[in-house]
Amino acid sequence: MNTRFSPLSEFTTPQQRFGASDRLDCWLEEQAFLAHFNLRGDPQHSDFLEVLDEQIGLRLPLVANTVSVSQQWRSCWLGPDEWLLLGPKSKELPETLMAGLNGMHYSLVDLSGGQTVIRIGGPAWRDVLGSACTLDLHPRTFEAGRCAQTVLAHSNVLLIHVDADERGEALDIVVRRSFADHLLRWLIDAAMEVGFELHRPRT
Amino acid sequence: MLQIDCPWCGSRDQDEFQCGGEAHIVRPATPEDLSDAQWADYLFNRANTKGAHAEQWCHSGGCRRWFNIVRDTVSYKISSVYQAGASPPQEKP
Repeated sequence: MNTRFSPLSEFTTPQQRFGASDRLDCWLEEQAFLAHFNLRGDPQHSDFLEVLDEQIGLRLPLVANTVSVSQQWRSCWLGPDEWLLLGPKSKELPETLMAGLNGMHYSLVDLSGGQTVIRIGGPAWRDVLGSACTLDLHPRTFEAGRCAQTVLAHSNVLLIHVDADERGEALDIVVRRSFADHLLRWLIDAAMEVGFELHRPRT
Repeated sequence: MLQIDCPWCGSRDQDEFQCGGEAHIVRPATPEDLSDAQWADYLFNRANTKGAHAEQWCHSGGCRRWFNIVRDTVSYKISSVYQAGASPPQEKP
């Protein structure tokens, strides 16, 4: 047997729960089994960004709290010398990265098993987040191409604005797997007010 | 609650930060030459300033970077934020 279980696979049955209103203004879904890589390196080093950009096709964001998309990979700013690469499971990326950056001072850590992504969307997702998140998530400040690390319901999370979801604007919440169950239950509780739909984990 | 301007992430709630105590304490270059009293002074004794106080903070709920701030210990007003390793800004007369 080679069955894989995502951190939130417990929530597999398609459930629809209804909140206080008859409307379903929010949906939640796990984006399971994505590849998460933590990449650190010195952007001041002349070759570091160049190798990533030209040989590998990864353009790292240098502005704090922004995301850049190249090919299938989202690169999120985590710190002045630290990024999170999110994309489809691949053996190719780490191998190309290691080959390209060989001899340079860098660190590449595979975090795929250690964290997961909860996607929240629907017209009321900002209100749901607003019940605990202290950041200003208004579209005026939190728009396409933005991300932010913060503490949400006692969990350290990375929030990534998702512009390209086929169901409209959404938000990806990257969270450690041990906090994922707690955070999803917390989000379900918070979303009860606006009414929500819980989808099967998307793999 | 304090609002602290992380030099990288911008203004965030104090909840996201951890305070690392007084800034600019230099570790003695040759600890083996110190007396116990001098070593204890380095380890434990702090200025206990009333007024402008330079402190280290870490944005542990965000970018996880250390930086320094100058905070008034009476009014809690933060007068400046600067990078770790930089010297404290001169006080305005």
